[in-house]
Amino acid sequence: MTQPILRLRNLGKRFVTQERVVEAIRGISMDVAAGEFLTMVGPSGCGKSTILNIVSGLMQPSTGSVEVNGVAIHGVTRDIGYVTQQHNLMPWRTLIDNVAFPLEVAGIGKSERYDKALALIATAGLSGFENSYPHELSGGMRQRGNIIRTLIYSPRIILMDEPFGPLDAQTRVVLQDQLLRLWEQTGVTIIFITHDLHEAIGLGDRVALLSAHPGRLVRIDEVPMPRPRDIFRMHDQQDFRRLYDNIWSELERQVLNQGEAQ
Amino acid sequence: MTGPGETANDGHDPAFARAAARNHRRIVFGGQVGLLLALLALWHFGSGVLFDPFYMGTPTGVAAVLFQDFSSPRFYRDLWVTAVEMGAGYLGGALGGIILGILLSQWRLVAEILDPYFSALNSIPRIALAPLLVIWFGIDLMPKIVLAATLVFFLTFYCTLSGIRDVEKSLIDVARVVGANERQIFRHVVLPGASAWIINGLKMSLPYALIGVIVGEFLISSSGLGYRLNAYSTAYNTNGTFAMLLVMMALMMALNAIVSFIERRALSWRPPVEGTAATAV
Repeated sequence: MTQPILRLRNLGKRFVTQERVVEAIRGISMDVAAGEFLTMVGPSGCGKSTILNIVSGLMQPSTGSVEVNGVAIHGVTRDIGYVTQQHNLMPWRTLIDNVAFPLEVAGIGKSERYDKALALIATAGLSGFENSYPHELSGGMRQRGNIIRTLIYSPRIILMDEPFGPLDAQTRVVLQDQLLRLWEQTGVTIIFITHDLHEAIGLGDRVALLSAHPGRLVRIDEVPMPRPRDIFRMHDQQDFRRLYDNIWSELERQVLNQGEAQ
Repeated sequence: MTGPGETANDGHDPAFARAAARNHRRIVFGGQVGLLLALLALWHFGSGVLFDPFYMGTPTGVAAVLFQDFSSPRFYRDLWVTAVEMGAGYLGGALGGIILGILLSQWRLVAEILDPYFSALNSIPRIALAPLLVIWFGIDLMPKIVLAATLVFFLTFYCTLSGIRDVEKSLIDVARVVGANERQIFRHVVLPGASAWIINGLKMSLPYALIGVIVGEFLISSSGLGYRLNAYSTAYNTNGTFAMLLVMMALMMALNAIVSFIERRALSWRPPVEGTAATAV
């Protein structure tokens, strides 16, 4: 492997409140290659969102560091985009002004940023809705708006925190398929968090499994399925089933452990 | 994936829905006008039968006073004085409240230190301030402006502060991640996010500006609508008193309509509220 685009070194995070100290994650180290699609699964309370908050630069780790192309980062950087679970579109902005916002704050003129936004809106199948406000869009449309708002400024790494979590099953699989095609076209590096092991294997080059309380890296599995993948037919394949059962037995143990701990 | 099922439409025929809404509005408006006419008739024909016109006046008497006032330059001078006092008090109080609200939302420590002082100051019954305001500012327009401003100030201040603190942190985080600096975050996320609160504060405080001015004119004045009202009532001119109440009512409703218009324009992005338009304060 050439130099990884992203390297997490011994990441740890403790939250100190007046009552107690909560250790969210401990000793997370991993390398992510440029252009890789890495998915992370784990039981709730495994600190998945904490990891992404730290990698995005919004949160400082208690221990360890995050390196992009070998350089440690402190705070947010335009190299790393973050697609949150909630759409977080500004309700007072139309879709096009939400999508173009990252270019607007970068000082790019209106016609240029609108051209780019319109092209992405078309790619996402949202043409005709560019002047709609978020409350006029469905959940799936908002989430697509959320994703293309990140794509528009071409960060080299995109973090995704259960972006399809709030959606119904049909919309989910359609968006998974669109995301895979976008990723194949752009060559961007993606770190994708999910609760859904099915989704993790279907999308990822590798699947990282985390434990809970504190979140630690349990194992990383390569997904042996060829690209491009047909996300609609994944579950029929032998390789998929074998890997799914294999990781699931471990995930099950984590979930049960957590149940005992509570 | 952009079929009709995806939009937030409830599937009715819009033309039919518009016609039904128009019909409904017509019935409501007709009922409102009918009620007004019924009340006027009761007032007119009940006068001298059901109640004493000395205490209740008569619609024709009130109309006569209004007619007389509307052709008197003195009335317009009083209206102008009240308008100036109210406008200056409202603008001064609102600007001060919004600016201080914005500043203290950024300086959390200062805000915490000042909090009990603001509560204490806001607890003073504003009318009780009037004698002090006379000592400080004389009996011209200034004490009434200040009285109105102190009422407006605290409402807009607290609304601005709450509005800014209420802005969703996740929106600010997203703006930061995509590269917005602090100034851009404030301008594009915090201010618009707080705008509904701020405009609500402006709307709520509007009647208080008029109350402050009228009460001030009651206590210490030789001009203004409040002075005029007081003059009519001390002369036991019930018709004149009612006439001034009507003028103030009309003034307040006109101002409310202006602020509601601004609100609709500024907050056009918000999902429409079900049912009829929002009621005036």
